[in-house]
Amino acid sequence: MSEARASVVSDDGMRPSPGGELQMDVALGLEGLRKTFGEKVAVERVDLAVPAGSFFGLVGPNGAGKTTTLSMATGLLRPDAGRVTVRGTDLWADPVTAKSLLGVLPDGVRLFDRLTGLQLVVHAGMLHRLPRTTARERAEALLRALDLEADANTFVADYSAGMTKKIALACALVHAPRLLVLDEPFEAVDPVSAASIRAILADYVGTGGTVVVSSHVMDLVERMCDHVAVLAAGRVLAAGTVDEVRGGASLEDRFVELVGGRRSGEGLEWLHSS
Amino acid sequence: MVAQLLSLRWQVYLGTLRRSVWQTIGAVVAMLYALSLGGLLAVAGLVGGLRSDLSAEVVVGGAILVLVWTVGPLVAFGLDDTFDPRRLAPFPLSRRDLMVGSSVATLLGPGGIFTVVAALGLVLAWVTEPAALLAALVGVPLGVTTAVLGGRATTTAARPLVEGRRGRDLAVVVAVLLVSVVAPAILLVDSISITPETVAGTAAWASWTPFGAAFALPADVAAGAWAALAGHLVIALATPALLVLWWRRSLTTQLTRPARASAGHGKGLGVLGRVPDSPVGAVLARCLTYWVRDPRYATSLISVPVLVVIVAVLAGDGPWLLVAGPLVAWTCGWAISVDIALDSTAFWTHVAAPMRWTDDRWGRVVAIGVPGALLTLVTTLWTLGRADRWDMAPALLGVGAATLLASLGLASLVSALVVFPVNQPGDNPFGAKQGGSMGMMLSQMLGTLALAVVLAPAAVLTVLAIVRGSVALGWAAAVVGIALGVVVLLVGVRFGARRLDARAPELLTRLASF
Repeated sequence: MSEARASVVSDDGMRPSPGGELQMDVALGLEGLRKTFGEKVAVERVDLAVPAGSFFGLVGPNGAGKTTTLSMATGLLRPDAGRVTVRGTDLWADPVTAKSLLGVLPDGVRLFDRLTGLQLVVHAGMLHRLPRTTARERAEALLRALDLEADANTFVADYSAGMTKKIALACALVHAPRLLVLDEPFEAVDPVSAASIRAILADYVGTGGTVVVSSHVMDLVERMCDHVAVLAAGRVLAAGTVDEVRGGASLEDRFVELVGGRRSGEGLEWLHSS
Repeated sequence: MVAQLLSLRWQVYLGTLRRSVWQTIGAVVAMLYALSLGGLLAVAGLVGGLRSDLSAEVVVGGAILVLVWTVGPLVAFGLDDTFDPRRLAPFPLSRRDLMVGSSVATLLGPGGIFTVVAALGLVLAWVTEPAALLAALVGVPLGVTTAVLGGRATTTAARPLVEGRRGRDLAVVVAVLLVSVVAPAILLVDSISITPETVAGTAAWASWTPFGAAFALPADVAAGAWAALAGHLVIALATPALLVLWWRRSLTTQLTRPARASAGHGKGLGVLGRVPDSPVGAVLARCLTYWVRDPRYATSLISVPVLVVIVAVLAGDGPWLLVAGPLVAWTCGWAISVDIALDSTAFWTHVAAPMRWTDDRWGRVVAIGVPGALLTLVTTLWTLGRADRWDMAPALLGVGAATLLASLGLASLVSALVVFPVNQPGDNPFGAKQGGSMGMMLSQMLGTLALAVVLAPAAVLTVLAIVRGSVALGWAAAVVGIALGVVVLLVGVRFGARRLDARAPELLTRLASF
């Protein structure tokens, strides 16, 4: 199994050439990331190179270590081992420089939800050293683009799950980062908003930004991303351009094949209503 | 179903125990304490009952028990969220199951065990009179039932009130209530020493309240006062019945209408538009907004008016009144020792931002420092006026400032060192957070001790100044105090920031685990 993985990874064209010089500009580099929680190994070893200007999807089954990996990649969780570089800056050695290049949307954490939507985004901008007037202009533009304008003065605590995702995305975007790391950005977001988010992100990538999204919706990743990595049990099973990874099949089939472990519905006959 | 609820309570209890050694120690200590204190009262009841007539003491003791059970959870002990009806709403539980289950589960906690054992003493006090003993066997359990029902009913009814926007207002109401309950109680204890006569007098009227009626039954039987017995019996039976009805009604509303109270709307940038245009400003504005909008912060300041009133009642116009100012300063300053814990995982916003951690520290310090300074100033001026010790103005204002500065500094360090489980944003601000309370108490104690140590020179000078009436010593106290305060604040912020530089992600991981 490890041989198969090695071959997939080496095919992805993102490794340094034998001569040593980088073949491409790496926006986010993960080297040998590892994290255990007590006995449980959440991330066994993750090596990834996200090319600058790519729209990179990170897919994996539940519990694969996606959130843990992205938390370590964004400075929210200290890895047990390994290195994270954001456009060449070592994140854990020089966090201030690296974090100023990063826009983060973590999953499963709270926001300062006693602020209104507008206040939250301006607050995020000011924490990133934006002048208040700039932060406010950008916040208003973002709220418009994300269809939150009507709720700009509503407390985030009263937002629905999808609205909360959108406002968190606005917070991640407000300081115009070079690299966006979004953990499950489309969860609970309605199709219309998802389309506008995709448009915003595509535009962002088109103008030189780099996006990393995690998701377990294969369809979405296949349509949206140009690069993808498959993560399972804390390891990278495959990485490369979407075409390389799916190898002719659909991404979903390839994913199930790589990850394995599909269960049939046996033993659940009692669930049948007739 | 009741058995399942009990086992749920037990599982939650065990679960919290498993999380830390301190928890286990705390729980065992609490249990032993409850058992021994209850046992002591039980023995006292037996011994006292053998020697003399304790009818008045039984009534008063019982009434206090019921009162504490009914009002206590609201103001002091916090609500146990295990049986938050809205959490259990999705399950097919009847109200009856929920009510019986949570009542019995409450009785199995340390407070319940103490109550049951202590109530035994109220029965044993009648050991010499068989007929009254029989009445006590009816009356005392009835009283204990009333106590438990009262506690459950008030907590359930209060739950929707303390959530959301209205929570803040209620916090203020409760504060006032607490003050108005505590103050007369202290006055009572202070002005009249407890004599058999006062107890008998209290018992006479307390027995006609819902709190004491059940405990008066044996005395009525012993005295052969059948009319009084009938009256007390009616009250004693009607109270739990009405409590059950009330509890049922509030449960029904909460089970069928699980909607959350809306927090309303804000306008524009709010404070965020008026703070300095910098990361410190952003932190400051956010904190200020939270002090106003998050009921958990308001409740942490409840002790300010309470402290002042208690001190005022205890000290009268004497020189002890002058400690009120520094006490308020300490309460305000120390309040940010749990600031990061109160952020909960929203703290990631700071971790992910390219922040200098001193910005985070200063924002939080200023947010409570400025209102704290005002509160301290007002309190100090008021106490100076009331005690008519204007000569001590420099000393007291100086020491107040010093206390505020130093406790802000210490709190800035402590909140960067450790986080404890506190109520999560949006939770009931009066809720008791399972876990962490032991560690929290320890850190509070250590913090107070550290403050006492660093401020000792200023405190000694102040006391000397007050006792000798020396204005010069007062000025010296002010100068020394403020110098010490500034140093502690700078050191606290500096080292707190340094600690966050090194360990902020670890704190975030801890916060996520709560």
